[in-house]
Amino acid sequence: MPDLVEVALVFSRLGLLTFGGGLTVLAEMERVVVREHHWVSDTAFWQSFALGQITPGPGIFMIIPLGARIGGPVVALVATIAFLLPPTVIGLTAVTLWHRVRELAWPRAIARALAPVALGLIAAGFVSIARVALTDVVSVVGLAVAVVLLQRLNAVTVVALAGIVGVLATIVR
Amino acid sequence: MEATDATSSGVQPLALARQFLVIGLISFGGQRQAYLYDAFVRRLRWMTDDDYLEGLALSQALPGPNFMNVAAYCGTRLGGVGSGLLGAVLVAVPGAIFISLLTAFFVRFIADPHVAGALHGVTIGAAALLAVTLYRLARRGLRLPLDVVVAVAALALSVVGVPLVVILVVLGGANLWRHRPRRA
Repeated sequence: MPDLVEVALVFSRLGLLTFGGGLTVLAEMERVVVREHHWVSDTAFWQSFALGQITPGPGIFMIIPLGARIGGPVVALVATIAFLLPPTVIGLTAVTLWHRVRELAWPRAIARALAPVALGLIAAGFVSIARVALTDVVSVVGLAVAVVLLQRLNAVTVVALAGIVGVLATIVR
Repeated sequence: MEATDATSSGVQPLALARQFLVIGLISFGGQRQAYLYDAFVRRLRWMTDDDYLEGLALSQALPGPNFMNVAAYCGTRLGGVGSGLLGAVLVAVPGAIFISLLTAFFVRFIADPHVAGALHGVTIGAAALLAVTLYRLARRGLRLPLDVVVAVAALALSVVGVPLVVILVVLGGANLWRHRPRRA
Protein backbone atom coordinates (compact mmCIF):
# COMPACT_ATOMS: atom_id res chain seq x y z
CA MET A 1 0.00 0.00 0.00
CA PRO A 2 1.42 3.42 -0.90
CA ASP A 3 2.04 6.05 1.74
CA LEU A 4 -1.29 7.65 2.69
CA VAL A 5 0.24 11.11 2.95
CA GLU A 6 1.54 10.78 -0.60
CA VAL A 7 -1.89 9.61 -1.79
CA ALA A 8 -3.51 12.61 -0.08
CA LEU A 9 -1.02 15.03 -1.65
CA VAL A 10 -1.39 13.56 -5.15
CA PHE A 11 -5.19 13.61 -5.10
CA SER A 12 -5.57 17.04 -3.47
CA ARG A 13 -3.30 18.44 -6.19
CA LEU A 14 -5.49 16.77 -8.83
CA GLY A 15 -8.64 18.20 -7.22
CA LEU A 16 -7.20 21.71 -7.31
CA LEU A 17 -6.26 21.28 -11.00
CA THR A 18 -9.81 20.30 -12.02
CA PHE A 19 -11.13 23.23 -14.03
CA GLY A 20 -14.14 22.96 -16.33
CA GLY A 21 -15.46 19.65 -15.00
CA GLY A 22 -14.07 16.34 -13.74
CA LEU A 23 -13.44 14.94 -17.23
CA THR A 24 -10.66 17.48 -17.83
CA VAL A 25 -8.44 15.96 -15.14
CA LEU A 26 -8.62 12.33 -16.38
CA ALA A 27 -5.51 12.41 -18.58
CA GLU A 28 -3.46 14.07 -15.82
CA MET A 29 -4.76 11.60 -13.22
CA GLU A 30 -3.73 8.70 -15.46
CA ARG A 31 -0.31 10.29 -16.06
CA VAL A 32 0.37 10.67 -12.34
CA VAL A 33 -1.28 7.53 -10.92
CA VAL A 34 -0.32 5.07 -13.69
CA ARG A 35 2.82 6.35 -15.40
CA GLU A 36 4.50 8.33 -12.63
CA HIS A 37 3.67 6.33 -9.49
CA HIS A 38 2.80 2.93 -11.05
CA TRP A 39 0.05 2.44 -8.45
CA VAL A 40 -2.33 0.66 -10.87
CA SER A 41 -2.35 -0.47 -14.53
CA ASP A 42 -3.90 1.76 -17.20
CA THR A 43 -6.60 -0.91 -17.64
CA ALA A 44 -7.56 -0.74 -13.95
CA PHE A 45 -7.58 3.05 -14.18
CA TRP A 46 -10.05 3.20 -17.06
CA GLN A 47 -12.19 0.41 -15.60
CA SER A 48 -12.60 2.63 -12.54
CA PHE A 49 -13.64 5.52 -14.74
CA ALA A 50 -16.22 3.29 -16.46
CA LEU A 51 -17.74 2.28 -13.10
CA GLY A 52 -18.24 5.98 -12.32
CA GLN A 53 -20.37 6.26 -15.45
CA ILE A 54 -22.98 3.70 -14.35
CA THR A 55 -23.55 5.18 -10.88
CA PRO A 56 -25.38 8.40 -9.98
CA GLY A 57 -23.72 11.49 -8.56
CA PRO A 58 -20.38 13.09 -9.44
CA GLY A 59 -18.44 10.96 -11.95
CA ILE A 60 -15.28 11.81 -10.05
CA PHE A 61 -16.26 9.10 -7.55
CA MET A 62 -14.30 6.88 -9.90
CA ILE A 63 -11.65 7.68 -7.29
CA ILE A 64 -13.37 5.15 -4.98
CA PRO A 65 -12.76 2.06 -7.21
CA LEU A 66 -9.41 3.56 -8.23
CA GLY A 67 -8.33 4.02 -4.61
CA ALA A 68 -9.57 0.52 -3.76
CA ARG A 69 -7.40 -0.93 -6.55
CA ILE A 70 -4.42 1.17 -5.39
CA GLY A 71 -4.53 -0.01 -1.79
CA GLY A 72 -7.98 -0.86 -0.42
CA PRO A 73 -10.84 1.03 1.23
CA VAL A 74 -8.67 3.32 3.36
CA VAL A 75 -6.78 4.60 0.33
CA ALA A 76 -10.12 5.07 -1.46
CA LEU A 77 -11.44 7.17 1.43
CA VAL A 78 -8.29 9.27 1.81
CA ALA A 79 -8.02 9.89 -1.96
CA THR A 80 -11.68 10.90 -2.27
CA ILE A 81 -11.61 13.32 0.67
CA ALA A 82 -8.25 14.75 -0.44
CA PHE A 83 -9.60 15.35 -3.94
CA LEU A 84 -12.91 16.93 -2.94
CA LEU A 85 -12.18 18.89 0.23
CA PRO A 86 -9.95 21.75 -1.04
CA PRO A 87 -12.16 22.68 -4.04
CA THR A 88 -15.31 22.45 -1.90
CA VAL A 89 -13.87 24.85 0.69
CA ILE A 90 -12.69 27.23 -2.06
CA GLY A 91 -16.03 26.97 -3.86
CA LEU A 92 -18.15 27.69 -0.80
CA THR A 93 -15.92 30.59 0.23
CA ALA A 94 -16.06 32.06 -3.27
CA VAL A 95 -19.83 31.71 -3.52
CA THR A 96 -20.35 33.29 -0.09
CA LEU A 97 -18.06 36.23 -0.90
CA TRP A 98 -19.75 36.48 -4.27
CA HIS A 99 -22.78 38.24 -2.88
CA ARG A 100 -20.59 41.22 -2.00
CA VAL A 101 -18.75 41.58 -5.30
CA ARG A 102 -21.09 40.35 -8.02
CA GLU A 103 -18.61 41.17 -10.77
CA LEU A 104 -19.26 38.57 -13.46
CA ALA A 105 -16.90 39.78 -16.19
CA TRP A 106 -13.88 37.81 -14.92
CA PRO A 107 -15.55 34.45 -14.14
CA ARG A 108 -17.19 34.59 -17.59
CA ALA A 109 -13.85 35.36 -19.22
CA ILE A 110 -12.17 32.51 -17.32
CA ALA A 111 -14.95 30.07 -18.27
CA ARG A 112 -14.68 31.12 -21.95
CA ALA A 113 -10.90 30.92 -21.92
CA LEU A 114 -10.87 27.48 -20.34
CA ALA A 115 -13.57 25.92 -22.56
CA PRO A 116 -11.31 25.00 -25.54
CA VAL A 117 -8.50 23.94 -23.17
CA ALA A 118 -10.97 21.65 -21.38
CA LEU A 119 -12.05 20.20 -24.71
CA GLY A 120 -8.46 19.32 -25.66
CA LEU A 121 -7.90 17.75 -22.24
CA ILE A 122 -11.05 15.61 -22.51
CA ALA A 123 -9.88 14.53 -25.98
CA ALA A 124 -6.57 13.46 -24.42
CA GLY A 125 -8.60 11.39 -21.95
CA PHE A 126 -10.40 9.76 -24.88
CA VAL A 127 -7.12 8.90 -26.62
CA SER A 128 -5.99 7.24 -23.42
CA ILE A 129 -9.16 5.23 -22.72
CA ALA A 130 -9.34 4.18 -26.40
CA ARG A 131 -5.86 2.65 -26.11
CA VAL A 132 -7.10 0.46 -23.25
CA ALA A 133 -10.63 -0.28 -24.50
CA LEU A 134 -9.92 -1.00 -28.17
CA THR A 135 -7.97 -4.24 -27.98
CA ASP A 136 -9.30 -5.93 -31.13
CA VAL A 137 -11.67 -5.49 -34.08
CA VAL A 138 -14.69 -6.62 -32.02
CA SER A 139 -14.10 -3.84 -29.47
CA VAL A 140 -13.90 -1.22 -32.25
CA VAL A 141 -17.24 -2.45 -33.61
CA GLY A 142 -18.62 -2.41 -30.06
CA LEU A 143 -17.57 1.23 -29.61
CA ALA A 144 -19.21 2.21 -32.91
CA VAL A 145 -22.45 0.46 -31.93
CA ALA A 146 -22.39 2.13 -28.50
CA VAL A 147 -21.95 5.57 -30.12
CA VAL A 148 -25.02 4.92 -32.30
CA LEU A 149 -27.06 3.65 -29.33
CA LEU A 150 -26.13 6.77 -27.33
CA GLN A 151 -28.15 8.84 -29.80
CA ARG A 152 -31.28 6.93 -28.71
CA LEU A 153 -30.76 5.57 -25.20
CA ASN A 154 -29.46 7.22 -22.04
CA ALA A 155 -25.82 6.90 -21.06
CA VAL A 156 -26.22 4.52 -18.08
CA THR A 157 -28.28 2.07 -20.13
CA VAL A 158 -25.69 1.98 -22.91
CA VAL A 159 -22.67 1.59 -20.60
CA ALA A 160 -24.44 -1.10 -18.54
CA LEU A 161 -25.48 -2.93 -21.75
CA ALA A 162 -21.85 -2.82 -22.89
CA GLY A 163 -20.93 -4.54 -19.62
CA ILE A 164 -23.51 -7.29 -20.20
CA VAL A 165 -22.24 -7.80 -23.76
CA GLY A 166 -18.73 -8.03 -22.28
CA VAL A 167 -19.83 -10.90 -20.02
CA LEU A 168 -21.61 -12.67 -22.90
CA ALA A 169 -18.47 -12.36 -25.03
CA THR A 170 -16.44 -14.24 -22.42
CA ILE A 171 -19.05 -17.04 -22.36
CA VAL A 172 -19.13 -17.38 -26.15
CA ARG A 173 -15.34 -17.53 -26.51
CA MET B 1 -26.92 42.34 4.61
CA GLU B 2 -25.10 39.74 2.55
CA ALA B 3 -26.53 36.96 4.67
CA THR B 4 -30.11 38.10 4.22
CA ASP B 5 -29.45 38.60 0.53
CA ALA B 6 -28.24 35.03 0.28
CA THR B 7 -31.06 33.48 2.28
CA SER B 8 -34.04 35.57 1.25
CA SER B 9 -35.47 32.87 -1.02
CA GLY B 10 -37.97 31.66 1.60
CA VAL B 11 -37.25 28.04 0.68
CA GLN B 12 -37.64 25.59 3.57
CA PRO B 13 -34.27 24.00 4.44
CA LEU B 14 -35.83 20.54 4.63
CA ALA B 15 -37.47 20.85 1.21
CA LEU B 16 -34.15 22.02 -0.20
CA ALA B 17 -32.27 19.10 1.37
CA ARG B 18 -34.82 16.66 -0.05
CA GLN B 19 -34.29 18.07 -3.57
CA PHE B 20 -30.52 17.66 -3.29
CA LEU B 21 -30.84 14.10 -2.04
CA VAL B 22 -33.23 13.10 -4.85
CA ILE B 23 -30.87 14.62 -7.43
CA GLY B 24 -27.99 12.70 -5.83
CA LEU B 25 -29.98 9.49 -6.35
CA ILE B 26 -31.12 10.03 -9.93
CA SER B 27 -28.30 12.02 -11.55
CA PHE B 28 -26.93 9.46 -13.97
CA GLY B 29 -24.88 10.20 -17.09
CA GLY B 30 -22.85 13.21 -18.20
CA GLN B 31 -23.63 16.90 -17.62
CA ARG B 32 -25.05 16.09 -14.20
CA GLN B 33 -25.38 19.74 -13.16
CA ALA B 34 -28.30 19.90 -15.63
CA TYR B 35 -30.39 18.01 -13.02
CA LEU B 36 -29.96 21.00 -10.69
CA TYR B 37 -31.12 23.35 -13.43
CA ASP B 38 -34.13 21.18 -14.14
CA ALA B 39 -35.19 21.11 -10.47
CA PHE B 40 -34.45 24.62 -9.21
CA VAL B 41 -35.07 26.71 -12.32
CA ARG B 42 -37.48 24.82 -14.54
CA ARG B 43 -39.70 22.82 -12.19
CA LEU B 44 -39.68 24.64 -8.84
CA ARG B 45 -38.84 28.16 -10.07
CA TRP B 46 -36.79 28.87 -6.95
CA MET B 47 -34.12 30.51 -9.11
CA THR B 48 -34.09 32.46 -12.36
CA ASP B 49 -32.15 31.49 -15.47
CA ASP B 50 -29.71 34.33 -14.82
CA ASP B 51 -29.14 33.25 -11.20
CA TYR B 52 -28.30 29.77 -12.37
CA LEU B 53 -26.04 30.79 -15.27
CA GLU B 54 -24.16 33.08 -12.89
CA GLY B 55 -23.49 30.07 -10.67
CA LEU B 56 -22.46 27.94 -13.62
CA ALA B 57 -19.94 30.54 -14.85
CA LEU B 58 -18.58 30.89 -11.33
CA SER B 59 -18.29 27.09 -10.93
CA GLN B 60 -16.45 26.75 -14.21
CA ALA B 61 -13.97 29.40 -13.14
CA LEU B 62 -13.28 27.58 -9.85
CA PRO B 63 -11.49 24.26 -9.29
CA GLY B 64 -13.41 21.10 -8.43
CA PRO B 65 -16.14 18.97 -9.98
CA ASN B 66 -18.73 21.22 -11.64
CA PHE B 67 -21.69 19.26 -10.32
CA MET B 68 -20.74 19.73 -6.66
CA ASN B 69 -19.71 23.36 -7.21
CA VAL B 70 -23.06 24.23 -8.80
CA ALA B 71 -24.89 22.36 -6.00
CA ALA B 72 -22.92 24.42 -3.44
CA TYR B 73 -23.85 27.58 -5.32
CA CYS B 74 -27.57 26.71 -5.49
CA GLY B 75 -27.63 25.75 -1.80
CA THR B 76 -25.87 28.95 -0.72
CA ARG B 77 -28.14 31.03 -2.90
CA LEU B 78 -31.32 29.40 -1.59
CA GLY B 79 -30.48 28.84 2.07
CA GLY B 80 -27.09 30.26 3.08
CA VAL B 81 -23.65 28.72 3.32
CA GLY B 82 -24.79 25.79 5.52
CA SER B 83 -27.25 24.74 2.84
CA GLY B 84 -24.50 25.15 0.27
CA LEU B 85 -22.27 22.67 2.06
CA LEU B 86 -25.24 20.37 2.64
CA GLY B 87 -26.11 20.56 -1.07
CA ALA B 88 -22.59 19.58 -2.16
CA VAL B 89 -22.63 16.66 0.30
CA LEU B 90 -26.16 15.43 -0.44
CA VAL B 91 -25.76 15.29 -4.23
CA ALA B 92 -22.62 13.21 -3.65
CA VAL B 93 -23.49 10.76 -0.84
CA PRO B 94 -25.91 8.38 -2.68
CA GLY B 95 -23.47 7.98 -5.58
CA ALA B 96 -20.56 7.39 -3.18
CA ILE B 97 -22.48 4.57 -1.46
CA PHE B 98 -23.59 3.13 -4.79
CA ILE B 99 -20.10 3.01 -6.31
CA SER B 100 -18.56 1.70 -3.06
CA LEU B 101 -20.87 -1.32 -3.18
CA LEU B 102 -20.09 -1.86 -6.86
CA THR B 103 -16.37 -1.57 -6.10
CA ALA B 104 -16.58 -4.13 -3.31
CA PHE B 105 -18.22 -6.54 -5.76
CA PHE B 106 -15.75 -6.03 -8.61
CA VAL B 107 -12.61 -6.06 -6.46
CA ARG B 108 -13.72 -9.32 -4.85
CA PHE B 109 -14.29 -11.10 -8.15
CA ILE B 110 -11.62 -9.36 -10.21
CA ALA B 111 -9.94 -12.68 -11.11
CA ASP B 112 -13.15 -14.07 -12.63
CA PRO B 113 -13.00 -13.93 -16.45
CA HIS B 114 -16.71 -12.97 -16.68
CA VAL B 115 -16.14 -10.01 -14.37
CA ALA B 116 -13.10 -9.02 -16.43
CA GLY B 117 -15.33 -9.23 -19.51
CA ALA B 118 -17.94 -6.99 -17.86
CA LEU B 119 -15.25 -4.44 -16.98
CA HIS B 120 -13.88 -4.48 -20.52
CA GLY B 121 -17.44 -3.98 -21.80
CA VAL B 122 -18.19 -0.99 -19.56
CA THR B 123 -14.82 0.51 -20.49
CA ILE B 124 -15.79 0.38 -24.18
CA GLY B 125 -19.19 1.89 -23.29
CA ALA B 126 -17.52 4.66 -21.28
CA ALA B 127 -15.14 5.38 -24.19
CA ALA B 128 -18.16 5.73 -26.49
CA LEU B 129 -19.79 8.09 -23.98
CA LEU B 130 -16.63 10.19 -23.83
CA ALA B 131 -16.52 10.35 -27.65
CA VAL B 132 -20.14 11.54 -27.83
CA THR B 133 -19.61 14.11 -25.04
CA LEU B 134 -16.55 15.38 -26.87
CA TYR B 135 -18.42 15.73 -30.14
CA ARG B 136 -21.26 17.68 -28.49
CA LEU B 137 -18.88 20.00 -26.63
CA ALA B 138 -16.83 20.59 -29.79
CA ARG B 139 -19.87 21.47 -31.86
CA ARG B 140 -21.03 23.98 -29.28
CA GLY B 141 -17.68 25.31 -28.08
CA LEU B 142 -15.33 25.50 -31.07
CA ARG B 143 -16.67 28.45 -33.00
CA LEU B 144 -13.49 30.44 -33.68
CA PRO B 145 -10.40 29.07 -35.47
CA LEU B 146 -8.21 30.11 -32.53
CA ASP B 147 -10.37 28.02 -30.19
CA VAL B 148 -9.61 25.00 -32.36
CA VAL B 149 -5.89 25.80 -32.18
CA VAL B 150 -6.04 26.05 -28.38
CA ALA B 151 -7.99 22.77 -28.09
CA VAL B 152 -5.59 20.88 -30.37
CA ALA B 153 -2.59 22.33 -28.51
CA ALA B 154 -4.07 21.18 -25.17
CA LEU B 155 -4.68 17.70 -26.61
CA ALA B 156 -1.14 17.44 -28.03
CA LEU B 157 0.58 18.70 -24.88
CA SER B 158 -1.47 16.36 -22.70
CA VAL B 159 -0.83 13.31 -24.91
CA VAL B 160 2.95 13.83 -24.85
CA GLY B 161 2.78 14.01 -21.05
CA VAL B 162 3.14 17.70 -20.23
CA PRO B 163 1.86 18.25 -16.65
CA LEU B 164 -1.65 19.70 -16.45
CA VAL B 165 -0.57 22.66 -14.35
CA VAL B 166 1.73 23.80 -17.19
CA ILE B 167 -1.06 23.39 -19.77
CA LEU B 168 -3.53 25.35 -17.63
CA VAL B 169 -1.12 28.18 -16.90
CA VAL B 170 0.30 28.53 -20.43
CA LEU B 171 -2.72 27.82 -22.65
CA GLY B 172 -5.42 28.90 -20.17
CA GLY B 173 -3.44 32.03 -19.37
CA ALA B 174 -2.84 32.95 -23.03
CA ASN B 175 -6.48 32.32 -23.87
CA LEU B 176 -7.63 34.35 -20.85
CA TRP B 177 -5.55 37.27 -22.16
CA ARG B 178 -7.48 36.96 -25.43
CA HIS B 179 -10.84 36.90 -23.64
CA ARG B 180 -9.96 39.38 -20.87
CA PRO B 181 -12.80 41.73 -19.95
CA ARG B 182 -12.28 45.20 -21.36
CA ARG B 183 -13.80 48.23 -19.72
CA ALA B 184 -16.40 49.83 -21.94
